[in-house]
Order: sequence, then structure tokens, then C-alpha cells
Amino acid sequence: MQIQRFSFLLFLSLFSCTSEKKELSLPEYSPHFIEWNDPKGFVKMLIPEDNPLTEEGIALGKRLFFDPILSKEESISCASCHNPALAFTDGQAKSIGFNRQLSERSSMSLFNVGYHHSGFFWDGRTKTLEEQALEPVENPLEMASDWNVVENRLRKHKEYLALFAKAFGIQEANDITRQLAAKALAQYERTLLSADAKFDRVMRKEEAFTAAEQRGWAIFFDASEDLPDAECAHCHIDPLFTTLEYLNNGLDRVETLEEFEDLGRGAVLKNKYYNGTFKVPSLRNIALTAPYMHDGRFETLEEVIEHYNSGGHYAVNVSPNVRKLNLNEQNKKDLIAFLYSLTDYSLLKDKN
Amino acid sequence: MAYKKIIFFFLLSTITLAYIGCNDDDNNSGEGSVELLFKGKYGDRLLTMFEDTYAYEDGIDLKFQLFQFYISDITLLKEDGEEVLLKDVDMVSFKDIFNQSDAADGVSLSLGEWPAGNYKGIKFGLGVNETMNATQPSDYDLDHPLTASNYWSWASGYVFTKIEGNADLNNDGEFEEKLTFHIGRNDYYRNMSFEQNLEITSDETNIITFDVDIQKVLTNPSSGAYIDFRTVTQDHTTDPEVAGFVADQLMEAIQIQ
Repeated sequence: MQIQRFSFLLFLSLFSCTSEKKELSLPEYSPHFIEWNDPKGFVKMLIPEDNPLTEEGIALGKRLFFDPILSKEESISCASCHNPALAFTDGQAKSIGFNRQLSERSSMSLFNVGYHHSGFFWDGRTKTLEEQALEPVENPLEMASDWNVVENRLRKHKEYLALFAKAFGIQEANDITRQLAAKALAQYERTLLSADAKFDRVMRKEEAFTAAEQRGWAIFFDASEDLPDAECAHCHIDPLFTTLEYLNNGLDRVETLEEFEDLGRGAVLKNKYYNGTFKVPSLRNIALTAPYMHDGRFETLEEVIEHYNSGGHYAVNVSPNVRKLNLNEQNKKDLIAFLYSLTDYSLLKDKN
Repeated sequence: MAYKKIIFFFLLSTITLAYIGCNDDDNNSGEGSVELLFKGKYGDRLLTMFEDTYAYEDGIDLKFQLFQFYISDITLLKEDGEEVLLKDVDMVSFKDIFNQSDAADGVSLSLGEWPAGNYKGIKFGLGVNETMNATQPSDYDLDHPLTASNYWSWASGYVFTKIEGNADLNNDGEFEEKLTFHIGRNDYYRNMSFEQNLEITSDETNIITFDVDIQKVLTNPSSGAYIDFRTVTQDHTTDPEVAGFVADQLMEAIQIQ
């Protein structure tokens, strides 16, 4: 009887301790919703109804973005390939993943990625940022991890339970899921905004272009009868400096559409006319995102412009807007001067 | 009792007649969905992107990659003169027509539910009307037809019509000559009206079909004039003669079925 009474009291005290511990460890769920203001000239950002921006969600996403906890052996983080100082790229032709493996393609800048509506990655294989955020973790050439492992790590981590609770109102560690992690990462990525480059300030009439930048602007946009047209704006229209289309820009000569080394969008759509096409990348911060193209084949902007000036290589599906340009040396310098005006320093020092 | 029976049958007949009457009225009083269906053609042939080769003037062969144009103020014309605006602007794009099957299906624009009845015709503008052409893509939601990819920010206007493709000038099988014709600006906006009896039936999908012959956009069979790809391979509404030709010929190219 004595033992029974003791057991009952012990049970009660355990229950009481558990309840008390739970109340102490889980902060109150009172998210601070953010009313997103799109910069002037930007189309309204599409924010999923089930993942509104909150201060807590963004903070958690940022923490995850810079934390190697997502990768195998906790070796690399999202920021390893998306370094803020390099406009969220990595300076590599092809990104270096776990165990220094080369990934298949170059790292894409994340600036203004919240405004992308035509899919993510060079081949657009995921439709939403939330879906996109899931993939690198298990890509064997990137983070090479396993979401089951990552979820367990996050659940056992001494700080993440509180961060997830504040962001999503979860009740216990087991409520931490890959989907919530992806939601938080997507929230953070939606805040990576570039709308304050010199170009933007000139458009807002707060600054003026130099003479070279002005000529480069006219060459870029075909805005002067006295200067040649570099045909850039067909695919790199402001304010995002991309149409978000999937196009072949004439990098490789092929006789048939099956010959491309990397099928790009064609492999996703199973449509040969999209073979060798890739998402048109944004040119914002282009001065910081070398090397260029989906495979990083061009090390400098000069090489890129030389490629377009030549008209590119023949394939049946090369965009007709990629055509011989006849730019002279001064035109090329002016164009590069304009491209440098797309550099936005406001988020380059971002870090966790 | 007989009196009650007479009243009963009278009421029953009245209700039945009223019901039948209502049913008759439904065809002309409810709403039916309206779709515009555009079928791309090159002369008598169906138009595909990339897939097919088309014989042009002077022995030149063509392949197309893009053919699209805006239509504005899509309006049904009632017999009493009243006009029913179906939609302010939409895009007809043959961009994703890759084979004969796609081409036979055509490009469909769903314009929602509209009052059933008889209409004497339909009209729309080719391009973006002056008011909307003064707006910017950021004035609209992301899924709106007036998108940044068809906007000239530096010229403050939309590209009404895009024709892109390739020409094989010397018949060597390589379509190396690149063709890009991008026509915009208010001067090149055109109005089209089609007088034809159109019956919109309630609770049905009412499809109004148009043929769009891109060969007629590039050539004028009446005058014999055509865009000579040996000398002109692009126009960004820079040459008024070329831009005007494309804008005028697009009107000739669209026929209601």
C-alpha cells in the first residue's frame, strides 16, 4: 500500500514536472505578420496563403539558411553555395557540394527570387520556393543528406524547438518537419530583395548615370537610334532583368536537339524543343556572380558579351533574339558599365 | 366535385405551360460560357512552332518559334446595338503549339459566363488599347496578360505582336537567318469587327472560332507585297513601313469561321 501510494505520488510529480517543463520551453505563439511592400515597378509578389511572412518565420529561415545542420556530416549550409557577399552565388563554375563534389550546374543568385513564378533551378523543376528548398538537402551532389536525419537533428537541437514554436506554433519537438523547415527557408528567401542598385536610383531620379552607363543603358534597351542594339532586353527586362522564360542562348552548336550535353528544361518537360534551354537568369548584381551561364563556362562579362556579339552557335531552337550584334569595343565597355550599375550592395553583407 | 377537378386541371395546365415557357426562355435568358478559339495557319496548313517547314517567297523556307498578339476590348455586339464587353485584354499565343494535334486543337481563351441570346457580331482591337498601353505590368497581378516579358519599359508600352522564327535563305537545310518582328505603339493598334450571327446558349460552352493565317501577316496576296527576309530580318517597330505592314496584314490574317 505504501509502495502504491509512493508510485502514485511519483507519477503525479512526473506529470507535473513534464507539464511545467513544456510550459517553460515553448514560447508563446504570437507571430508578427509582415505586410510586404513590393518595390515600385515590381509585380505583386505571390505569397502562399499557407505560408505568410512573419518575423519569426523569416528569422528561423535565415538561421536554417546559414546552418550546416541541413547537410551530411553538417558540413555545408545553403550559404556555402549562396554566399551573400557574392550576391548569393559561390564564385564557382559548378557548385561544390558535400565532400567537395561538383554539382551539375552553377549556383543561381537568390535576389528577388520571391518574384519568380515560372519555376526554380536552371531547369524549373520545382514550382514553388517551398518545394525548391526541400531538394538540395537530399541531392547527393549538394548537401547529400536525408531529411529524416535532418528532422531528428532539428528535433534534438536545444534551440530549434523554440524557434519553430515561435514561427509555426508547434507543440513539441516531433512537430518539427521538413515542410516547416522549407516554409521558413522560403520565407527568408522571399525577403532577399534587390531594388536599390544605382539603376534603380537613376530610375527613381535620385542619381544620374555616367555618360558610359547612359550609353550602355541605351545599347541594352535599344533606346537610341544612334547606338547599336545589343538585344539584351528581350530576355532581361527590368525590373527583375529576366523574363523568367526558358531559352537556348546559343552556347553550343548541335545538329539535332538530342545532342545537348545538358538537356535543361527539355528533360523536365519531356519536350525536345526545350532541350538545351535554361531559365533566363536575372542580371541584377551580375558583376558579382561570375562565372556565367548554367555551367559557368564564361569567367568574365567580357566573354559573355563576346558570345552574344558573335551571334552564338547554331541550333534549331536558339532564340532568334540571339543574333550577330556588331558591337565595337566602346559599345562593349559601355554595356559593361551599365551592367555594373545593377549592383545592389544593400544585402551583400547579410549573415546569420 | 367536378368543379374542383376543373380547377385542379386548370392549375396543373397553367403550371405545366409556365414551366415549358421557362425552359424555352432559358436558352435565351440564362448564361453561357464563351470561348474564343484561334487556329493558327500558314496558308492551308496548320501552324506549328519548330516542327514544320513552310515555303515562303523567293524559294525561302521558314520555321517559326513564336507567334503571339494581344487582343483588347473583346466585345459581343447585340442586335439592338448594345455592346457586351467580355474582357479588356488577353493574349493569343501559339508559343506552345508544337505539333499537328496541338495545332488542330488551337489556342483557346475562356472569357467567362455571359448572357445567352443572339448577337450580331463580335469585335476586338489588335494590340493593347491606348489606355492600357499607358499602364505598367506592376499595375496588375502576376497572372495578368499584360506581363513584363511583353513590355518595353524604356518605351512605356507593350509589344502588341511578336513573330519570331528562322529562315533558310539558300535551302541548305540550316535555318540560320534569325527573324524577329516585335510590333507595338499606339499607331499600330487596329480595330476588327466581325458581323456574324452568334448564338450564346445558356449552360453551354459557346466557342467562337477564328483562323489566323501567319502567311498573310507576312505577305499581301492582293498587292504582291511581302517582307523580304533577304533584306529585312527584324523590326522593333523602328521602321514604320514594316510595322504598319505587319499591323495591317494581321487584320487580313484573322477570319471568323
